[in-house]
Amino acid sequence: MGIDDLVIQFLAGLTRAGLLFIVAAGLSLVFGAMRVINLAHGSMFMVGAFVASSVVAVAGGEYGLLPALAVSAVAAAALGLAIEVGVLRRLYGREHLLQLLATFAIVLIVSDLVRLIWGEENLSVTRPAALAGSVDVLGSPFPSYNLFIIGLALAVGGCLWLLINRTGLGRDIRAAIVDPQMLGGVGVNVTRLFSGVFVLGSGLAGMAGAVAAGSGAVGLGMDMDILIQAFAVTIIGGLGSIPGALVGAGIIGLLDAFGILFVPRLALSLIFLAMAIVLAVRPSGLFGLPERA
Amino acid sequence: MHLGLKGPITALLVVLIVAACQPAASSPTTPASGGPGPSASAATGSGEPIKTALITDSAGSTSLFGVANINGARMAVDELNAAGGVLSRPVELIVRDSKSKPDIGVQLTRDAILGDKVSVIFGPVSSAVAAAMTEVAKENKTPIFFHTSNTQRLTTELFHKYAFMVGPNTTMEGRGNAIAAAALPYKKWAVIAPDYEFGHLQSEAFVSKLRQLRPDVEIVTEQFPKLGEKEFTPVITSVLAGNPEAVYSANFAGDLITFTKQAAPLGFFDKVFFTSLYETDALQALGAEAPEGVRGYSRAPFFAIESPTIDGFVKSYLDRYGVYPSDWAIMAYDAVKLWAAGVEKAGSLDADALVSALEGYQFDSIRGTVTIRPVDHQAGVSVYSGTVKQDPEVGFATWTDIKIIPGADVWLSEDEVKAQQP
Repeated sequence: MGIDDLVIQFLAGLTRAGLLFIVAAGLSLVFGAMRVINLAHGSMFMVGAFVASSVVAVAGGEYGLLPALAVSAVAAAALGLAIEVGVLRRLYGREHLLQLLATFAIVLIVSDLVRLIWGEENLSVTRPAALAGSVDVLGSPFPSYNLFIIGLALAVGGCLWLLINRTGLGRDIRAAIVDPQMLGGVGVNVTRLFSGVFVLGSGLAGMAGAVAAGSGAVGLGMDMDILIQAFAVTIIGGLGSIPGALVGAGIIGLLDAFGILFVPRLALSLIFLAMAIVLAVRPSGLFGLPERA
Repeated sequence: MHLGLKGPITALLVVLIVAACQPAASSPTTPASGGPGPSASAATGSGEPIKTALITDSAGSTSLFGVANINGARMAVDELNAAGGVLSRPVELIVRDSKSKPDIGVQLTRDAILGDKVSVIFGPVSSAVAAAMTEVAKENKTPIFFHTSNTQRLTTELFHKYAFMVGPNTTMEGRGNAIAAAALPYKKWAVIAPDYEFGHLQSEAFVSKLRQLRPDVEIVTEQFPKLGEKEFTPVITSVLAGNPEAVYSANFAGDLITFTKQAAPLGFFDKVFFTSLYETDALQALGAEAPEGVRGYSRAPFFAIESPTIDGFVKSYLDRYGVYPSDWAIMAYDAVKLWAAGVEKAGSLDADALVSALEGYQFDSIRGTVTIRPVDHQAGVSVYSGTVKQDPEVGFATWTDIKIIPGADVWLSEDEVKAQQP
């Protein structure tokens, strides 16, 4: 095993981390601003993946997946808006259990709708021609698509950082994370802000779903699969923190990749071990928000 | 008023109970009483359907297989009914989804047996679910036929007399693949298998048989990614880091599609010889992305089967569903037909009579005539392998250079089976 193998393994880990970050960032943002644990976040991801498969079927495999990123994001964002306005808005300030139940109900409904629309079979989505090949990394081919995922995740991270730290909307989001009542008191329309944050989170999940469609099989069950992983990220990084999502996703992606390389039989338990250690040392995660008073 | 109604209600109940018991009590006696002919047996409620249940997994990464199971079983049932039913009674197929979860499989099996009063259960996709379901069938003395789930434990430590297996079990499949692998020049092998019952048992069977046939072979790494994994890249790169010459995989369905898509741009298929469960459904879903030159193995690929019935079967399946039948459709079809043949031979739905009828039975399956071995109720079916190649005739990749290993060459000996049975 040479240095080239380690570099490839590092990039492989970053690929998983990249996708996880895009999903977990949305989940975390929604929790931070709205204090809603949105179990339906994975459903947006799955809807994004299935929408992407249809877009590629219509637009063709040559470029199809690139417009699909946008279409999936918009579709998931629209679904998110409907859920926020139709369901969640009625549950703010109520106990968390009620929100969990409501969002879990949405998980089941969306899953059945997807089954009705797209059927039960696994679908395979062609990667755009420009990203279908591979790039030479220290003499070994590495998929361009994986590098695209890593790049996209970094771009999403950069945009989110700019949005939150350099715009008026971001200032409001930061304020909502600290104290939404006070924010409402100074004249900001918190209801609309919450809708906006939820739509943003959903859109990110939808786009991630489209990215995942190019990476592997699209099928039912991908909603819960990604949700569990995204929660693992936020448990390590801390719910409500974008830097936390970045670090959490990086830790899980790399721990998984190097775990598989060095201790294959223990790779899965390494992630749970990391979660246990973080929970023991910092119960709210590495960058987590403390309980709101 | 309450008292006044009690009498009539009791009377009504008695009438209902008697009426309900009547057909069950009288139908066996009518033929035994000498039998005035077919008109009499038709009069004794031959319209009462025989209920059967297919409990399979039609969601998640194995959904491809579950859907095919349902199609195959439905076709078999419709053919039986078109030909006058079983024991001159129509057959009704109840279909349930266990969602690849053993606890749901157990619940559905119990509901089907106790609630729907089915005469037979046809099994699931997942071996983990099958292992749980077989216990319920055993408790209730209900015949259960496995076609897709194939853990060898169903025929050994979990075996009971009401269980039958029409697909090759994990030992047969693993050993069959090992025989094929041993003939190749490669010495450094890696193994990738899904992290559950099927993956572990099958790869164990492969590795031990390969080591026995080829003591010079070295297993450089074994990877067990979880079933339903979406990101195989780290697994693939770490396998390649071990520099194997050949890789044996027990990945299948959605996982194999994901694996293949992620492996190709890593140069995986150029660097190693690869063999995995490239069956009809996966090849169809992969379309142009199916990697030519890899070695596929499977249990009932329509394009590899040579039997008197295969062509007719493929044609009627294609006419009915518009797609080619996958292995999982063929084996579920065979399971239903085997059960029906057993019931006809036994002349009744009695589970013990069915078991005696099927032990040693020569079954004309879609895969040719196979014997049901009495010791473990394993059908002597073959293990198929071939090289993946695009096939313009069917519109997706199938196999060339096909190799068929008879089940009797690879199954556990009767002594090995007995040593492991309870």
